[in-house]
Amino acid sequence: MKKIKEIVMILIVILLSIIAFFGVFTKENGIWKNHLPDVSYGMDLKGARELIYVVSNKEDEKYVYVDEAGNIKGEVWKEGKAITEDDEKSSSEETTEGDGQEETTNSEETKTSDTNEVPYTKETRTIKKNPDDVMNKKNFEQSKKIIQKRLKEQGIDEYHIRIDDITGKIVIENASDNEEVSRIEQLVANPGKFQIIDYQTGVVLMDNSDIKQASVVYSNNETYQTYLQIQFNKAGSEKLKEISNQYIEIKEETQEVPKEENTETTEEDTDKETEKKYVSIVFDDTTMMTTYFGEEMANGILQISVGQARTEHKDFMEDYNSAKTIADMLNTGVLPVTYELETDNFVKSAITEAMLETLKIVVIIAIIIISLILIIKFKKKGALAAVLNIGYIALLSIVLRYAKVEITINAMISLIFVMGINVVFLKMFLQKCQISNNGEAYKQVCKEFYLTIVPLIVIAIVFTLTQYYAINSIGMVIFWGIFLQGLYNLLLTKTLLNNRKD
Amino acid sequence: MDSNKNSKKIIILGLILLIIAGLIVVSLKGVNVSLLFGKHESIELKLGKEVNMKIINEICREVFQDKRYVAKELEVFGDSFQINIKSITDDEKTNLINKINEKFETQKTVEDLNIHSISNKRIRDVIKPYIVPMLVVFVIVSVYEFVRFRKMEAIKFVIDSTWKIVLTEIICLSVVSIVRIPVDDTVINIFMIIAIAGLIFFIHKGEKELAKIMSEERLIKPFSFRQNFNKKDIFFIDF
Repeated sequence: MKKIKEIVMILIVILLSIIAFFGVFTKENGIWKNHLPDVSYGMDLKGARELIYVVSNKEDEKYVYVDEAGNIKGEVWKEGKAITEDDEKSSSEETTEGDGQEETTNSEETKTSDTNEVPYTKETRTIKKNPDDVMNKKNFEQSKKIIQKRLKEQGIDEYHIRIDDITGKIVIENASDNEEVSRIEQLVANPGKFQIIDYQTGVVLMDNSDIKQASVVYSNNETYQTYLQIQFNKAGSEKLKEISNQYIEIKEETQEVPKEENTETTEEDTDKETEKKYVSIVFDDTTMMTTYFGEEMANGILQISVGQARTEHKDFMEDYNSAKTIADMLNTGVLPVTYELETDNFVKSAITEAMLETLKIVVIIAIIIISLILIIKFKKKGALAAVLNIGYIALLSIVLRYAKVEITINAMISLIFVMGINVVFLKMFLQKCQISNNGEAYKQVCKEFYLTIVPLIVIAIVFTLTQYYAINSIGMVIFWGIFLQGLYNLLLTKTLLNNRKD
Repeated sequence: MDSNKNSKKIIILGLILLIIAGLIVVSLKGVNVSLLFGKHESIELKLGKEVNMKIINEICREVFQDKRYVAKELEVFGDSFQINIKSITDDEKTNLINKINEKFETQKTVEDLNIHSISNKRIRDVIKPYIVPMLVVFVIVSVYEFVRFRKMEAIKFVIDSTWKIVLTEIICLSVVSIVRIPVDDTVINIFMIIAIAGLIFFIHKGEKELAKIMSEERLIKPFSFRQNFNKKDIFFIDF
């Protein structure tokens, strides 16, 4: 019975080795398909998307409001559109010519108020995306920090960032798919400028300096609606309150006209002229919405709907993620420098597949040498231990694939380290078996071994819980290495080697 | 005994000199970082034909001779490549293009080379993510050592093992800077593995010492009623 048990265990080890090293193939539609997942390589082995951003040198002539101190207070708008000085002149000429020719309005009409008195002077200025005074090391560094914060908030950990202190050029290497890369592009290329603008005139009413915090909330009432919730600081809350009382719908009773003179009834209709004052909510020069306020906003919180009411989870998640991206940009602050994408390339790793194959051969040779040493030193038990060691490597390889552990160069070093530790365990066990063959050998070796590798167990746990991909992959490899080593040796090594007489 | 002491003194003196030399090299020349870690030029070329990286490497060896370079394939279509090199001269650019045209039968010009200046990766940026996890590990392991080796001089044990690990790391760092080994992620990871190996080594040593103390205690400990009788028996004897 014991013999059969041993044979079954050896067969399991061999089967594991075959699965791990050769795969599990079945024919599907005439094509052989391996059911064992591929090893997931990190960006140092697989390659990375390399995004190069340069400081934007674009400049535009804009017709702007300027306060007494010379600060720009917004672009001159008319009905939500930026206008030039010439546009304004020509429109004022047209208005003068057309005076008195305007038709009487219908009984109920809506018009936007253009009676605002703007307390600023207007002038045409050449506005650079990056004024000369922002092009300095401090701002480049600040931009890098903000980008890093944004990437962290978005859960993007697998990247390298470099910045040139002199030119401000940023290089980001990232190992991910197109979806994540497009998010990175958005996070770097958008400064994160938030503005609430007077739709009628273009004067900036509120900006990022008024924001305390932004978050994403959603309502769940048969459909899902995503909202970007902006909480303003004290000054911002005051401004919002003031704006919410100014930019409203005003219904004015203008005149009372009898409807039909011939009718018997003396019913009279009241003509109403509705005047609305709008604000535009603008994010990075893109208008998110134009609206007026229905009630006073006294709590300092503004909710902006993002997307539509959704019934599909996928659509809702899209809205949620885009709102989250905006919220993260608002929370991390405005980039002091505006960047534009210069190149986006996928750069393959310098470590080619041929190099990896060579490494595999080296590891195989090392395993063979270790096996031979075990066989020479411990005879039959050594041979069994060698087979068990190969089985352990096979099992670890299978589990790492299914656990989708990303294998980086550092994780590879850790993998070799963990494999070496198993050999140490086997050697200790075989040595103990030679001294005491009373079935206690395994227990004694385990106590000695695991008490010694406590730092490694701590590292496995701490590193696995770390977000940074390079550390996480090391932690995962060590964690699975130690966990499987304990389990595998308890189930197989102990049964096969403990109490065994050569 | 005296010769033992002398050799110990020589080793300590050698190590001190090694650390001083390392410090001097770092302060004068800085740490030697790998090509891709440091500031370098990245030269990209879309060939429009299937690129054979072996041929590209051969061309690079001929053009750049002793200069370090790293050639990589660009994009998934296999028709572009990237060469990373510390710096490139105009002659080298022309030579590179001529040789590429010759080998791949193309008609590219120097203007087709897309050259970017890539800034260095800062070592502090690379090390930074490791600091907190490593500190957490050291704190947890130190607490474990305090508890585990309380029968020994635990404080002395922890301080002793910590400073020896730190010293080993400093010595390794000195060797790396003197020998000018190019530092990259892998070197940093090797430093980490040395620290882990050090921790394991000292715990193993501690376990041995503890086992020795325990066995001595077992031998020295006088006969104990508590160990050999249950409560009822003790009561009976006391009575």
